[in-house]
Amino acid sequence: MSPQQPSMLLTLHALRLLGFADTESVAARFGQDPHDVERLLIDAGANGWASRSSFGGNRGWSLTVSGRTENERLLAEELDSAGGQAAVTAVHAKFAPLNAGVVAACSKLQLRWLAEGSQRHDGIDGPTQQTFTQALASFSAMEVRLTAVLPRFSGYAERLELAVENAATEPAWLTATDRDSFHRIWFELHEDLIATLGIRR
Amino acid sequence: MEFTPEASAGAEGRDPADAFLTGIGASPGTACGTARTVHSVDEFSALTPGDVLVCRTTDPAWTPLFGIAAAVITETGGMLSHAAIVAREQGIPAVLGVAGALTRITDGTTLVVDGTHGTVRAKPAGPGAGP
Repeated sequence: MSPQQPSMLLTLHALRLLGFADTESVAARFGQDPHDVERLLIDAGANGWASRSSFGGNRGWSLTVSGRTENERLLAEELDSAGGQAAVTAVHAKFAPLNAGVVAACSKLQLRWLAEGSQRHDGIDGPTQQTFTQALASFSAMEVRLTAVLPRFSGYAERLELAVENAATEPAWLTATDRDSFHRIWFELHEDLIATLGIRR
Repeated sequence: MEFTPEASAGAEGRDPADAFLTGIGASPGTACGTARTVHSVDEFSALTPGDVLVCRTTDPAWTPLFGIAAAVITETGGMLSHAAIVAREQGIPAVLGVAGALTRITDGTTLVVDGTHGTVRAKPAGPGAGP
């Protein structure tokens, strides 16, 4: 990702998408400079938009309720300024049925693994595999439409493609929470669309 | 009142341990822990390892909580939801779609969460009382 001008919008939004993250991860999410992001996070903390804490042995930042509100205010400004409301709304409408298919496929895999006590290297059946590859193909076209109005949406398709490639030998790459799995990326993308449009789940 | 059961359960004369809330058993297994009602990210620090997370819905910010919670109860969602997938990955029971969970469950109540059958009940107090 090319270097970005540091901004409070990208810093708060990275935090929104990552949930709980250290400064380096927040900076890396949109290719910002870590020193600039540290300064922005300290400013965000002073404004009550972000808080720094320890969780599970790691120190990091998270967005406060007030930070979510500020994040959504900045996103609304960005969307308005880019004239992107129609494009993002249209993508979200097409994303919803795709999301249902992806979540169902993830659940089907997990329930099969649980029921059979089978190992995750047992492989993935054809139709389930196809759900993920078709979702990736469909979303790739949507990403082109999204990035035409909001370039910060770039990167999802590339990450999803890598997850699918890795899943060919290690199916955990479809659903795991400890890596950049297909579901983790997809969940983040869903949050990104919802946040950008200012709608609730 | 610490726990408001289903209208059909906990009828007079019945063992209070029979009182339960129901939802969708979205991630199997049974766990017991202290209920922590979490309304927003500002309350995340209230959750300690082994607690039962009770919330309305989840987004990616909530995923780390699944790593320390004993079980999860949400008001929304079902078998095919992001919360269900994350709970299964973490191997913790989840009962989702429990209407009014945040108001019917009082913070601090000890709960037994059965993610296989989709039930939540208050653990009876007293020595020797098991889940």
